[in-house]
Amino acid sequence: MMVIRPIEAKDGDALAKLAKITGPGFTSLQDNTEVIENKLATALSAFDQPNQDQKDALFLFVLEDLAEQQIAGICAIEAAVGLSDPWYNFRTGTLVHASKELNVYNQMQTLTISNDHTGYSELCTLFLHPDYRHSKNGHLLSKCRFLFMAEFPQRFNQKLVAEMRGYSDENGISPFWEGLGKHFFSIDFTKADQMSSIDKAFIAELMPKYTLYTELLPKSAQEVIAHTHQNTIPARKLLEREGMRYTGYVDIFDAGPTLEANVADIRAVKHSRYVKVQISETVANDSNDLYLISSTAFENFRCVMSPIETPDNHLIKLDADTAQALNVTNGSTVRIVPLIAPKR
Amino acid sequence: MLILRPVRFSDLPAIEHLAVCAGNRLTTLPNNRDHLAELINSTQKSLQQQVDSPSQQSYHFVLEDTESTEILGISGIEANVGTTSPFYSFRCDTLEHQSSELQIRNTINTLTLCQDYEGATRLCTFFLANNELPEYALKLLSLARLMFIGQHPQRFNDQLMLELQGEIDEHKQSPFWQALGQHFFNMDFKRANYLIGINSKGFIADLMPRHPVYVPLLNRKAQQAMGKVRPDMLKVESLFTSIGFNQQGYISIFDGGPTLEAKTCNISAIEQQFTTTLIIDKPDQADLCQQYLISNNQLRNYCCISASLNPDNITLTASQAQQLNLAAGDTLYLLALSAN
Repeated sequence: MMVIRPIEAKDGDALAKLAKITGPGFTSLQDNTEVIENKLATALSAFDQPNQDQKDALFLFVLEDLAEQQIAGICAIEAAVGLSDPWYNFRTGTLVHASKELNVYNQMQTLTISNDHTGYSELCTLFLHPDYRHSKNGHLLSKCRFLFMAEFPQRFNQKLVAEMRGYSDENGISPFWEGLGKHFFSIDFTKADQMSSIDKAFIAELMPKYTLYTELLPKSAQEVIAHTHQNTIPARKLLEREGMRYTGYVDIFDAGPTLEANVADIRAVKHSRYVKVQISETVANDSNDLYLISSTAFENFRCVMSPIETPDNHLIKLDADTAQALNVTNGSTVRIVPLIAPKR
Repeated sequence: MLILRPVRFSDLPAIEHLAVCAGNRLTTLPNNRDHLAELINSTQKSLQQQVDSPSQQSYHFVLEDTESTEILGISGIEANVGTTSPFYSFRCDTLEHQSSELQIRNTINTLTLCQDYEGATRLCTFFLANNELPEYALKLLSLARLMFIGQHPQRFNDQLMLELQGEIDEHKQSPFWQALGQHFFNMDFKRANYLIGINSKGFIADLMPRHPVYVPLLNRKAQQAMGKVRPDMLKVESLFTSIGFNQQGYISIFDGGPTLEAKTCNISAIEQQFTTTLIIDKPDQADLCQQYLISNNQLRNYCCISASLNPDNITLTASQAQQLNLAAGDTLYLLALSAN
């Protein structure tokens, strides 16, 4: 059985192991002992009840394979971005340059550096071990966060963003970086990207502060604005089916799109509901549809995915193993939602 | 004899021909009869006006071969830039982007659309139809204007400026325009130049970038063209720099050509002109060792010629004096030209 739970102190080694295989381009979990230890400490404090007023908490979850006692993946939610280090994006915009006299009408696309998402919650740091990329584990790992947010809305902003990795070619070169960022940084993309996950101050110091006319960038750079990296397209589709949308903000380094939504409008939040648990030896599946089931506990939050049997609207039958994984007993309240949005 | 004199209505066909030769590359010389007629009209009106401080006046002069009566070139002065229509330049600024953490210090150049030259006097419309003319023809066409300015200081500002035509590539295209202006105008350089020439300039602000442009984002050819003159204008550039003009980091918003500027008091062609009383004589050819620009100081009948004279005994021939509309005993304005 696969279960989501908050990260614990004992998970340090597992986290370090995962970091070794993430590879470049995955800046939020770099293979760097100090960074990992800091991340773990931050995450542990977030789940400490006394810190519930902390505005910029990092909620880090692990996906555990109970049978193998393996950590199969991690995912996280940043409660609010940009409150200590500024949060940067390019906002894509339009300026109309027109002259009736000359009969010229030009819509010019622009990029403007912005901190518009300051205070928003962010989905981040999702990584699933390659051995576990099957059986909808990716869905569980990504969407469990929505149930956590549905359960504890006061800990999050009403708005949620997720940054998608931008396009890079087969050699890992980002044409957007080559056409823009490189001129301002005189360091390579990987280095800049890594630095940015540690401390963002230098971005303000080095990046263009004036609005840029997109047309003045090389064609190759223009073409990849808001394009998602090949490997991240499934993640984007998944979030879009939950209601997240690209609204014109892109990453300042690789121009990857930022997806955005009101938390309350996300399908898995809006359609999730409470039911009571009935532990049963025989559980007949209503259908083959998988459900996400989460507990209502905070520091002992659990989430699994399973077919369900609901004898009535307010009841769900769980077998003993599943109940144990969720850390619930007979009569407990759990939150459920179909794993995948029904096709229309 | 080559003379420089104010343009007259009878010159219209001739300057139309010059405009055709210029091929709409000069903003101030569009191939458009109404505009060219207005250019003449403004010159004539300005010369008749009593002027205490410069405003909307403009003066255009033509270079005429008196034997063939052919008009060989044109040059002008706009008394007060920005009075009749706004004048735009790109100002080249430098930004320091510095990160102590990354130990990076980046100097980033930007171009900002500005009207910093409003209120200056502008030398404009320099066009010589024939490149085979003797060296002094170029000087007559360029520098006689400065003598005129020196003789009528109340008609002009202390700050002078001019734009030199920028680099063009082997296809006669301006790489700077293609990389920048073209995106905002949606038309080629000549067409844009023509339209700008015949229209009021207000639309430039509507079309050109409102935000500073980061130079490193322009292509290499465009960057290299910034502040560079077209090869055939190099002579003109070095002429003006030799008399006190220099670049202060402004370029043309169209082709990236350099803007030169100078204060009147620092321009040798203005400061070093001197006067003498006209003596008419037949000089000994052997003594004629110094080339001069020589002018009267009249307005409507302003005339300037170039000749070799004897610096120790300045005299003019009768035909030179007649050309200048001067008689013995009148005041003569002179500027000694340097050897090259």
